[in-house]
Amino acid sequence: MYYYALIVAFPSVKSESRRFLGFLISGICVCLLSAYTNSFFMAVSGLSYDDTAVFITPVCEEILKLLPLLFYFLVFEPSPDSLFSSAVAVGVGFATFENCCYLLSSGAGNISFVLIRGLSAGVMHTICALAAGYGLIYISKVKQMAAIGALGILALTVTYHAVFNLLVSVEGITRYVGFALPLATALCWFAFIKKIKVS
Amino acid sequence: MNLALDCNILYVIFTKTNIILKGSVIDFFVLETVVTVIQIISFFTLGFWLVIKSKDTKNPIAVCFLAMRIMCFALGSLYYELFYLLKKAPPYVSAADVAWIGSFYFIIASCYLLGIKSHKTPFYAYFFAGAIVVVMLIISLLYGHFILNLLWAIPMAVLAKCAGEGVYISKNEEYKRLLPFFISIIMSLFYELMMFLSWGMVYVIFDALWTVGIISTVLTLYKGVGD
Repeated sequence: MYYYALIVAFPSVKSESRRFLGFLISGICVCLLSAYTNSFFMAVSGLSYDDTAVFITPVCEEILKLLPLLFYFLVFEPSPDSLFSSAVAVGVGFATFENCCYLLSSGAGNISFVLIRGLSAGVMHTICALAAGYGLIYISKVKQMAAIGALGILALTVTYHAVFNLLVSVEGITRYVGFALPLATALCWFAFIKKIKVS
Repeated sequence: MNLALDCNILYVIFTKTNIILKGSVIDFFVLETVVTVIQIISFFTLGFWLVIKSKDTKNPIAVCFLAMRIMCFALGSLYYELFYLLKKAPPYVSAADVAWIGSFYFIIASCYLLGIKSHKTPFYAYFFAGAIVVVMLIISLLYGHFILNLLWAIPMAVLAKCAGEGVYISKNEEYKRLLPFFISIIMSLFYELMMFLSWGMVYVIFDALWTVGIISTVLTLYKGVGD
């Protein structure tokens, strides 16, 4: 329903808002597509749900999240601001849809746990998309390095995602460290960006 | 570098080396973890320092790419160590390999940004690349996953070629200050290759040497492109 409402709203908004909405919808589509690819590779490889989350999910999700951004970057040659806001939209769209699905499938039996997990996973997806956006902005200064740089960025985001999934997959204190990781990274990120701008 | 060792000859050689070095299996694991933790902390610290300092250099993007290289590698090592601690077994093919292999692309980009492409490739650059391909092919035939070894070999060979080209252009007065950077790349590649071939205490020694090699890569680049 949420998805249809966004599609209906798409023609009624203009320029920057339309682009943001477009990438938000593409983030949702990517989330849906990654659910299918994850299930496919889980069935093919014969791995358990937890092992799939640690080994396969980060690779599939991060590749699919990077694709719309890479397409926009290579075909339209956007400004750094446009690229950055598009990356945010893809990350937010992906995280929102994933959290909606997670809340619906898990039910309200353990709502606090579901909310904490949803919040941390949401921040993690946004951070990964932000990192991809920042990386592509850097690459835009040296276009001949686009392919090599994109591979490097993909490696960074996949590994960060995998670290989060690994920590969350284990019971106990490790799980809570995992939940805190994206928020801690976000705080460090903003402090670091501020420090660079000041210096 | 988490390749399973199936070759009996290598196993015997390195077990004997362990005895010579008076190291036990426990010592090896503890030492390996200590070296990795030092590696992760130093790489993250150096990475952030390099990004902050990049604005003071002549080629900030190349410096930032090198910072991303070491942070990407550190993230891979962090994943590997966490997996080892939490699951009580090393991951065979995992996100750690993605990060370790991916980190090569950043340093290759960094080398190209320093201007190596604008000059001709000397014969020894091809020799370095060829030597890496040959050694990795031999390793692939002996043990480990063939495709994973191939994925390691490709960026390593490309980086070796870049470093060879870098040494060649360092003859020019303009690039003379970058010679230690390219030599440290070749040295770190050599240590990395030795890590593929080693086991036990020898592996830990090469891991520590490789860490020093990477730190020297960072410092020599900063000195080379600094004002």
